[in-house]
Amino acid sequence: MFITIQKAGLLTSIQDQGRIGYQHIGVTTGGAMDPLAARLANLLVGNSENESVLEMTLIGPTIQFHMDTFIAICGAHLSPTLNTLPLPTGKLLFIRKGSTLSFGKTQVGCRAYLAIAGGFQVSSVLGSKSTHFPAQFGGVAGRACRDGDQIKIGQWSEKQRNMIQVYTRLADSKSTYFRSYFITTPLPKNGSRPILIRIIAGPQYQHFTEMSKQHLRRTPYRVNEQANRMGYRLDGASLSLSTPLEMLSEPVLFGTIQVPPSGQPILLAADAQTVGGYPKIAQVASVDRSLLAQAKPGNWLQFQLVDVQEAQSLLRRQALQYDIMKQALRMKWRQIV
Amino acid sequence: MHSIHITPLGDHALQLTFPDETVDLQLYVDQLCNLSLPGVSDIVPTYAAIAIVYDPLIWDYGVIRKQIAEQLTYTSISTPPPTSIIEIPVCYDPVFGPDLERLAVHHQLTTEEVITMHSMPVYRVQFIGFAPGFPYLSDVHPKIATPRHQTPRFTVSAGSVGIAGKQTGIYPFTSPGGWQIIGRTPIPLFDPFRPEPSFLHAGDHIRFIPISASQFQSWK
Repeated sequence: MFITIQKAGLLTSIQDQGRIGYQHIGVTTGGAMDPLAARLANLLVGNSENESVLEMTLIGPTIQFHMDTFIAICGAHLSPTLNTLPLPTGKLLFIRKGSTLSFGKTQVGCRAYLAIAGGFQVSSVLGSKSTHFPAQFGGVAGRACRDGDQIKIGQWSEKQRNMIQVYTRLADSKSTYFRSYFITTPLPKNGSRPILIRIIAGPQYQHFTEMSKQHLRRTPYRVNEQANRMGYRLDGASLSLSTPLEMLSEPVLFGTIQVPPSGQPILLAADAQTVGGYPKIAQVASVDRSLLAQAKPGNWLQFQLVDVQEAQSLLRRQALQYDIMKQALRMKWRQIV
Repeated sequence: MHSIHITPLGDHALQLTFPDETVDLQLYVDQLCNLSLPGVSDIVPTYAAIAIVYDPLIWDYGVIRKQIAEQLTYTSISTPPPTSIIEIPVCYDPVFGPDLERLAVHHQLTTEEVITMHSMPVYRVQFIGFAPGFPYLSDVHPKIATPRHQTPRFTVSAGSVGIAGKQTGIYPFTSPGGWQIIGRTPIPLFDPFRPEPSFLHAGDHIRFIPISASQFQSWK
């Protein structure tokens, strides 16, 4: 069982929830930029939440399916169509063998996630199937998908197999989707309003001028065209230290906002290095990580400073909502067969 | 505990900052590992700061901060003498070290003198970062300390040995990079399929052993 990537799109790669526990040997966590969308797409198709998915960026791929299966697309809306008919996102979809899934222009968001029953059968490297671009391991040969790639599909669970068989017989040779339920994940609202991103003061926050701190909290920053899985360059009011700081390289993470001498901040993302030498003015609150992953070049971000306790309680509330969705989706799979 | 500064690094990590890089962070990394705190996924040392990544659904920042502050014992012991030294073969042929000659001229030295100065000292692996398995080694002899290139190269070959300021290091993978490249090692520094993927670890001591181009080619 496999799928064929007929056209790869702008940047399509295999990701899961990333590598845990290897930062001390220089291996970043990596994984899906929008972890919530990846997890929920998996749960929709009856996979474990950490299963591998395809992360598709701005311009999606064209994919041919060589078997009947279930898929789900979550995250950005990249105008998916199946055999030219528009498809919804956030739903469980039954796909007929021979169907072609393609994507058009992005309507909202930046990164869409395709989960498929059984996940992708690529080797797990250091506990993860995620593509690690700099060291070229994980995913499809450690690189982004290319035109013509064939990717094997993993084993179906018994429930997945049974249900696919039922639909193979029932669905009257048509691909179909489930109208009764759908899920949503954080996405920027269309329009000109900046995307609100909560931040926590970083270890060097106090070393910046009062003016810089105010700029960061009150003025919006634009996501520069140089935005990728390593980081986003931001354009906006210049930030500066009140006195020069002798910096030794320090640990950095997804969401670290560091300020190079140019004064234009850089927001580090999933594939950033494990260490950085610029002062860290702030760190994005985890609750807004998925939303941040959906910001695209040209979008404006409005940062809002919160304290660490508030950030943690916001995250816990989000985790609780996620758990409710997870239980509901698991229940659906239990009822089905 | 006045000498260790603990701050949040976002809502799922905290940073321990030490007075300077002469403190042996490995002592603290060992202490932190021995605490076996549940939900702690990564302990990442650098020059003078350690990040501790934790699960915010298990820990309140205030609680984990208190746990660590109370259980960590501050010691002013600086780096202990090396117990063993790992030897790393390096070919300093200009083919592998495109910056060697220019660096020698810049410091008014011969290339032989640069090679001797670089391969004589025992270096300590301060930490692994930048790329999987990339060791930050210090300090190089002050006479060969050289700032990095203003514009980084598009490609630095895997195994390249470079100098940046008073640091020296080895690129495990072919990647862009700004360090002054003076040689190359045939040893693979990182292999995710080995039981221990990284050849070097923070706290290790190493020495570079000059080898010829033919030794490099025939290195197993």
